[in-house]
Amino acid sequence: MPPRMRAEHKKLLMIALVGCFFAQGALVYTDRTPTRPASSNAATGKRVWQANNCQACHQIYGMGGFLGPDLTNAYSRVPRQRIDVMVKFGFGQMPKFQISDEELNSLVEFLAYVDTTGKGQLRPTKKLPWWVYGE
Amino acid sequence: MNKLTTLFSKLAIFALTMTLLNGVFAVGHYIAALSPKLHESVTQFGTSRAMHTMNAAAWIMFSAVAVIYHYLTAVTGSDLFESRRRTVQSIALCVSAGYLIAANSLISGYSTGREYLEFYPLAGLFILLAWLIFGWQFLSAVRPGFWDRPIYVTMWATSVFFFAYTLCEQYAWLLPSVFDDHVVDMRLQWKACGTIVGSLNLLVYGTAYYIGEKLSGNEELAKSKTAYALFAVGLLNSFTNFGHHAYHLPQSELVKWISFVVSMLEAILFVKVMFDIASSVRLNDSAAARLLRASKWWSAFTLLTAVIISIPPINSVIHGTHVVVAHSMSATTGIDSFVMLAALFYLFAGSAQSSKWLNCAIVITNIALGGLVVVLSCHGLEVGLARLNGRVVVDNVFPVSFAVHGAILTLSIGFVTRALWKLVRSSCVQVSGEIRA
Repeated sequence: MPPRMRAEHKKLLMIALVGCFFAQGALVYTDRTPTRPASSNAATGKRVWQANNCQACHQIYGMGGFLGPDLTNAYSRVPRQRIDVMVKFGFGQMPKFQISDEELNSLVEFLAYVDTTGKGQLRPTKKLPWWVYGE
Repeated sequence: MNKLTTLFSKLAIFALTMTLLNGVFAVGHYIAALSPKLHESVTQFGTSRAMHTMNAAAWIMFSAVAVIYHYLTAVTGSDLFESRRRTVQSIALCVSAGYLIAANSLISGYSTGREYLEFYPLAGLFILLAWLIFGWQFLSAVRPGFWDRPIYVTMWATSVFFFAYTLCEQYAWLLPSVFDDHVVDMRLQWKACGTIVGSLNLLVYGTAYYIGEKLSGNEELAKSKTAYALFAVGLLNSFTNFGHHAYHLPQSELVKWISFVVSMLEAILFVKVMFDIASSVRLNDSAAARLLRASKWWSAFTLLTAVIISIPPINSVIHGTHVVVAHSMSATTGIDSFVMLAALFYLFAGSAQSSKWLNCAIVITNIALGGLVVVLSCHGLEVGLARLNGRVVVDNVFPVSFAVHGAILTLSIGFVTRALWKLVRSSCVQVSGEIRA
């Protein structure tokens, strides 16, 4: 018969786990890694992003759907004109969105702001072994 | 069978059916030729996806509540539907309001644009209220001699607090200081999303122990030190390993290291699960036992792959690819859904032997799920490696393969669900004879 856990030990275990939970939470809430808030136009762009449910297909920092690509650093990789065309006219499975020019500008400013916060995906900085390319 | 278990089982089956239906619509959007037609005639991808995830969570929660009410009825010795009528009515009202507001907001095209909680925030309030009332009812009933009760009571009780806390945390974005700083928002969102999944997992693991105890007749496993050790490691993982989704996110290195180290502790769980698989062959051949055995294999597979994809160099390759979807599907379907289906089959059919058609459906479900996981993982790996090379993958095979495996999985789980529905509708407990699909 496996040894039973005594009630006193269960209480201690729960206290320890609750302590770990709140300690972990405190680490996240008080994280001092430098960040900067969005401008008011970028914040408006974030509302446009959310209202049009962009995260259903796209990710930022890995959070979102996978039908489309991660857009964390899309601003520095995709020309502005291409972004405008894709949003307004659609592309492949991406539908067109009925948003005004002001909303589109603020959305792009939001993507530009996110682009400055960090790298969302690994990009190679040096040549990788041949077996990675498969060529 | 008590009325509350029957009621919540029916709600759970409805939610599972909606999950399957919306999963089919969502995967249809992956096929380029089909997507515009679905967009115009049925639903947008965003709506299907949101309805799919919302109903998947609802399926797990409703079925767990059904199991918990079964336990509470045995513990209190009374029919809670009658003796706690007002409490039950309050829960039912809040659940109905929450679900209807959520579903209506999604179907009408509204979205908060937040992962898991795309529906109107008022629905979240009703869901929280329902959960708190249910939690209060549960905790009041198990409070006498709480620390002498089995592990599954501890798991369910922990889930009550865990889910309430993380649901509130999910709405931190409503604070301007969080909303305006997107990196802070992402840190909290990843933390809350990871831990809310952990709270649902506690409901599932508690149910697995409860049903395992009933099937095996061994009450000591759920009171052993091993059970509590596994609970501790599992819970630690639940609220720390969200960090392995966000290695790239600008945040404290300590959070990332804690996430990595605790994720590796899951290897301990993997070894224990493998031992459990070996011992579970002694269980009978009822539908419940078959599904529980299958869930143990999926637990081992999911834990092993979770450990592997938590290793930072590997994580960087598969980050943001369908490997993550594969992991999510193997966990939510192979572990969570199989355990909850096993539980409901046990509650309504006991140890009755299942028909060959039902057994066949369970086998096909496992094969289809395996195929789906392989398809998603291969595509994800292909995309991840191509990304390292600065290339974009154009894959015309993956969408069709994804859709085909998803459709087969939907049909087979649908067949299993239909068999369960017949049992629940008749609300009888079979102790002998065969379950007919």
